[in-house]
Amino acid sequence: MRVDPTFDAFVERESTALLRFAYLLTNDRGHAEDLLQVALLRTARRWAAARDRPGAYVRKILLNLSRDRVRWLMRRVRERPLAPTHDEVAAVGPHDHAVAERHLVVAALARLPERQRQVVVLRYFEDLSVEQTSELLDMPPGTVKSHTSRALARLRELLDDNDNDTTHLARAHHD
Amino acid sequence: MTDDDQFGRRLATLLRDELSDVHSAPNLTDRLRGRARRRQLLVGACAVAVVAITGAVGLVAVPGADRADPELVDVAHVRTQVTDALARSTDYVVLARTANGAPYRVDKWTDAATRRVRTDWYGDGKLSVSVVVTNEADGGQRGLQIDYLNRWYAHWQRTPAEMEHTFPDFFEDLPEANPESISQALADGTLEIVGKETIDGHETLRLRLETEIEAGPTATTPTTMELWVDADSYLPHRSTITTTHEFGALTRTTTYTWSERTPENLKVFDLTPPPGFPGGKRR
Repeated sequence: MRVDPTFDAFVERESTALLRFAYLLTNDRGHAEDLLQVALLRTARRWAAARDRPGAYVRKILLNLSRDRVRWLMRRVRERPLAPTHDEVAAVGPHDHAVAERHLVVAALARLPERQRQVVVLRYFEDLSVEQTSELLDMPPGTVKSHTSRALARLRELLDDNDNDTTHLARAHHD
Repeated sequence: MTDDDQFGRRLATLLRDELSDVHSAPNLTDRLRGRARRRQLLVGACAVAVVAITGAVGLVAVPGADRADPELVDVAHVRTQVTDALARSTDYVVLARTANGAPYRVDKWTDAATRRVRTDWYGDGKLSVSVVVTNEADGGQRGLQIDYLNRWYAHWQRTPAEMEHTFPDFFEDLPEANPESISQALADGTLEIVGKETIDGHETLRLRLETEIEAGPTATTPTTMELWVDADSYLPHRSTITTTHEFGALTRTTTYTWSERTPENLKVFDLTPPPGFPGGKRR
C-alpha cells in the first residue's frame, strides 16, 4: 500500500477521535477497531478525493459501515461490550455516581435506533451543526432535527427509568 | 440555547469522559499496511479460484458456491459499490419501467444531469398521458403535459414560492423506484445479500433491504426492497418494493435501463404535442 505521508499524519492525529466515534456507533470496542481499519483503508485508496476533508470522509464511511451486519459476517468472536450492563451499573456504590452516570448514558445511547444514535453522536459528541450532520447522513436538515428531538426525548425516558430504579444516581439530564 | 441543546451537551460531556481512556493502537498505520497486503493476497487468490471454477463449471455444479465468494459476503463492500454506482446516475438517462399489473404501466426517464424527468402512463396498453418536468436550479418547476385520451396539452410553471405552497402529497413518503430512493434505502435499511441470479440475460447480484418509511408523525411503514444489481457495474437492473399496510402488502416491480447521454437518447425529453391538440399555458 503506497500512501501519501499526509495520510499517515492524519491517522496519527485523528485515529483516537475516530475510534471513539466508531465506538459510540457500535457500542463494541473490537467492532469499532475493525470498522475504523476498514474505513481508513478505503480512505487511503481514495486519498486524493478525501484529503481535503479526511475527517468527514472517514466518518461518512464509518456511518455506512456501522449500519451493516458486518459483525456477524466477519466471523470473529464478539468482544464483551466496554459499557457495563444495567444490572452492573445498579450495583455501583454511591461514591461512584459519576462513573455510573457515564455508564448509564452510554447504555442508553446504545438502545436508540440507529439513525437517532448517529444524529445524537454527530450533533453533540462531534459538535456538528444541523447542516453538517445533514450532509454526513444524506438527510434533510428537518429530518436531522426531528431525529434529534426524538432521540433526546427517548434518552430522557431511559435515564428517568434508571433514576427511578437507582435513586442514588446523579440526575444529569436535570442539570 | 434550548433545553434540548443543554441536555445534549451534558450528555456529550459524559460520553467524552467515559471514552477518555479509549485510544487507538499506536502502530495503526503499520497494521493498515499489513491488512492491505493480506487483502491483496486474498483478491489474487480469489481471482485464481474464479478461473478454476469457471474452467470446471461444465463438469461439476457446486451448491452454494456463490456464497463462498468473499465479495458476496462483504455487505459493506456491496453497499459502497451500489451507492457509488447510483452516484454516477448523472452519467446516464435512466428508464424505470414500473408494472402496476398489466395492462397498466408507468415509464419514467430521468436525466439527472439536467434535472429533467419524463413520465408516461399507460392504461389498457395505450399511452394515455405524458409529462415532462424540468426542475429549475432555483427550486421552481416547469413542465408540459399531454393528455392523449382527452386530446389536449398544457405548459405550466411553478415558482419556488409556489412550490412551497403546493398541497402536500400524501404519497411522497412512499419509496419511488429511482436512484435517489434506492440510495436512501441503502443508507437507512438493513442490507442482506441473497445471492447471484441471471435476470433477462444479465448477471446480477440479488440484494434485500429492510427499512421503514415514515407514514406520519408517529407511524412507520415496514418496507422491503429487493434489488438486482448488475454484477459488474452494480447499477440496479430490477427492483421490487413491498410496503406493508394494515390492508395488506403492495408490491411494485421496476426494471431499469441505463443509457448513455447521447443526443439520440436525450430526445425522449423533447416532448411535442401532436398536431390538432388544443392547448395553452396554465399556472
